[in-house]
Order: sequence, then C-alpha cells, then structure tokens
Amino acid sequence: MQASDWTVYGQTLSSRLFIGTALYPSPQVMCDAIKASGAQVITVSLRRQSAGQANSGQQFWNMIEALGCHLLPNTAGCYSAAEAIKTAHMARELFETDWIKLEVLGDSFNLQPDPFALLEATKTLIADGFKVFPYCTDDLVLCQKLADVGCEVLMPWGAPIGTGQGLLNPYALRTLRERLPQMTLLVDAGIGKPSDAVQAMELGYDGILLNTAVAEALEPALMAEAFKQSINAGRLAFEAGIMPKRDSAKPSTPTLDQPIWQQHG
Amino acid sequence: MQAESIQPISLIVNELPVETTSTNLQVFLAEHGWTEGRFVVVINDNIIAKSAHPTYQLSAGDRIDVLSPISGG
Repeated sequence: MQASDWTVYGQTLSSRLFIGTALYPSPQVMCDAIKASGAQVITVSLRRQSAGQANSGQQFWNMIEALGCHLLPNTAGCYSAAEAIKTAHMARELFETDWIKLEVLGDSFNLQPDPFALLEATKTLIADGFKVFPYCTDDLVLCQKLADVGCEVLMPWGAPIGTGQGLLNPYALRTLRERLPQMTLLVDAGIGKPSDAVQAMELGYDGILLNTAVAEALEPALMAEAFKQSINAGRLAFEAGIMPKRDSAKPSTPTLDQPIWQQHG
Repeated sequence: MQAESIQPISLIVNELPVETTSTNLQVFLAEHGWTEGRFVVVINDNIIAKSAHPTYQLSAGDRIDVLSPISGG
C-alpha cells in the first residue's frame, strides 16, 4: 500500500522523497540510486565552468534529463540575500523552472541558515514569481514569517547538512507541524538513517529531502530503497493515526468471560 | 591601402582575463567551446537570454560568467 498523493506548488506527486544528486561515487551510481528511491524531485545546482569543462555540465544535464524528475535547483554556498537572489535568477534561466531551494547560510561551520537574509531573499523571490522552498531552521517565528510572505512549503533542518544526526529537536519540529497545519513541511538536512525519516513522517511531515545518507552509503541504491520504504511507512502510520502513549499498562487481551481467578481487576 | 587591424579587447571570463577579437557574444562563446547545450551567460551581473546571444556585442572590460548544471543537494 502506498501513502496518498500530495501536491507541491500545484504539482501532484506520489513520492514523498526529494533526493540530491551530489556526492555519489559515480554518475551511474547516482542514477541507480535515484531510480531506486522512486523520487520524483531531484535537487541540482549550478557553477561556473571553464570552456574545457563545458561538456561535463552537458553530460550531467543529459543524465538528469533522462531521469524524468522535476528539478529543484538550489542556491547552495550563498551567504547573502543578494547573492542568493542572483543565483536563483540564473538557476531559473538555466533549468527553466521557477522552483528554487533557497539556501542562505549564516555560519560556515555548521552551515546554519541565516534567518534574516533568508526571509529577505524569500520576499524578493516570491515577488519575482519564484516558488520558494526555503531551507530554514526549526524556529517557529521564522517559519511563521516565511509563511506570511507567501511560502507554501517550508524545509526546516533536522540537523546540520551532512551530519546524519537525525532529528536533533523533535519538540521544535512537532511544534511546527502543530502550529502550521496548512503548510507543506519537509525535513531537509541531517537525516542519517531510515528511522530518522520514519520519525519525521510519523510527526506528520509531508516529505523528506536528503542526499548524503544515500550517496555515502556503501550501497546507495539499496539505501535509497530503504528510505523509500521508510518514508512510505512513516506516512502510512501518520495517516492511520498513532495511538497515544500511556503511563500505565492496559491489557491487550480482553478479560471479559475469563475465569474469575484470572481476572485481576 | 592597409586593411584595418582589429584590436583585441580584454574581458574577464569566469574570473580569468581573456583577450579576444570576437565581439559578437555567440561567436565568442563558440570559440571557447560553449555551443549547444545547457549553460547560462551572465554579463556584468545581467542574465543574457539565449535568444539575444547572436546579436549581443561585447565591450572591453565586460565581466562574463558562464554557468552550467552541476550536482547539488
């Protein structure tokens, strides 16, 4: 059984996994992993390339085009709103999409988003007609403000990029889900293993964006399949309704009509 | 009568100095290996649409960035 379809900026998707295209040991491994993941959205980027490297960009483009996925370009490596805005415009021209994964970093050690520059860039890009997917922290007030300026999707981190630490602050992520029920929420970054993804999906998150956990697995395609199944399982569990935790035991076997000496109250 | 010699102009291409006598953008790009395929050209912070490449004239001191798709997370 598959979890239900969902919509992102008007695009109906069946997979709830967005996957990155970086860090794989080879292009073929990347393609195999993306296919195994079932992802319908892949993240890409852009860089200056010398004339001698012109073909490598084209080869990469040919590979991702053949996958038939929606492209989500990022603004990785930008440390100011102006830089991110400029990169987003170049990405729109290059990839012919108005989707942008907006990264504006504020700290080079843990690659933490700069909330102030992120909000500023988001406002401008939405006014410029972009569909913004902001990579943000799990701060409630920041997320509310991003929603207020027109984001339909928010992508709070689980942990810093590439750390594989899982969900460091489940309380904050649960609070976001509860306080922003209409928003599409994806956990982006920090997911290390499939159980991290299950945890996020059971909280009611709409999807997961990850890269390193698959690309750096010993068998990326196998790990991609594992994430596919875990994300589906987590979503099904959320849709099914998870029982509340209790402080005291409750018998699962009915006691009605048991012999009197086996009934303990 | 001597033929008029074409003076080269200096450009900055992807942060490297380049001299060229080709002032037409499309010709310049082709000479440097950027012909068909996916790339975007930014000159002095302005994106130059592909449709404008055949008619765009380069000027001395122009700062040209050519960007291509790469992998990303």
